[in-house]
Amino acid sequence: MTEQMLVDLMGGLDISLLENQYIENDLLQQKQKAKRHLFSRKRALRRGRKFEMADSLRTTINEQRELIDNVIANPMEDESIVEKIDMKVNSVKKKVNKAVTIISGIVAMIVVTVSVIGVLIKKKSMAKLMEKRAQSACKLVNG
Amino acid sequence: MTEEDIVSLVLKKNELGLTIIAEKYEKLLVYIAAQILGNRTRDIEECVNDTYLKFWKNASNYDYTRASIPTYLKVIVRNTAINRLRDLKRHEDKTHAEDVFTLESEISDSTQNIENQLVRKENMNRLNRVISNLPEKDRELMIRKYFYLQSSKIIANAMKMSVTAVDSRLSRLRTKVRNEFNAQS
Repeated sequence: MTEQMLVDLMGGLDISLLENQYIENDLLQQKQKAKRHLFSRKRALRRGRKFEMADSLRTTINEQRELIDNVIANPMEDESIVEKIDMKVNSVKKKVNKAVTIISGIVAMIVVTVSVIGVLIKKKSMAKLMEKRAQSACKLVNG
Repeated sequence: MTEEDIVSLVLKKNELGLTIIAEKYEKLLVYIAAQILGNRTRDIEECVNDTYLKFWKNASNYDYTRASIPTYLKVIVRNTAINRLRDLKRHEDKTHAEDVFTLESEISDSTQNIENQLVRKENMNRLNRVISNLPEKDRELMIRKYFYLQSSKIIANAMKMSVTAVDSRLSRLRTKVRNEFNAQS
């Protein structure tokens, strides 16, 4: 008596032996299980206790989180460029200020030097003029 | 509408009777056919339609005092599904899920000759005697496994047993049936 024989022979089983509710009970059980599952989910949602996140939503949130983490770890180049420009501008400004200071110093020195030279020249020319006047005065007196 | 009314409609060849049968028992028949044919949707549909047709044709031959309309329908759909599976297996190599495969692949067409038919009839009578003498739980196990071709997992769920318990109990029952057959022969 093999299993295959049993399957074959069971096809001819007396009809009264098959008067049962096995399959109907199975279907009822499935229906009740589905209802219970639906009811428990509804109840959980109504109490606000549990939100069952769908897998797709969880995946999307995780992807967004990774994206944000990447952005924070690698800040945008534009900000560094702005800083670099600021730094360069500041350094140029400093250089210009220095140059201006130096040039102003040089100009001032020149001015002073020219003034001194002018004074000296004037002094010399005054001295010569005084000498000439003195000579002419002497000529008049001796004269 | 009572069963008698439905039978009356069917016997009068009133199509309303068939419509009511389809509305009431389609889920049941699809469930049984699906257990045997798996996910072959089209075959399941055809099997269920064949069942309605066979019942419609032979309604006058059934004894409604011995069994109800759904019982006759269950028998028809079960045998139709197994015959269809046998035909499909001849043409395709696909494997079927679970342990039904080991049974379906070995289902033989035993209507080959008269001698075989007589032996088969005798064996069926013996099996009827054996099954009718089994306790209710064991009878349910045998019918679920070898009539409806349900898997051990489905049987375990339905009968609130473990799969291991189902398998070991079925093994003991097969031995018992074999011994009874040997004793009677």
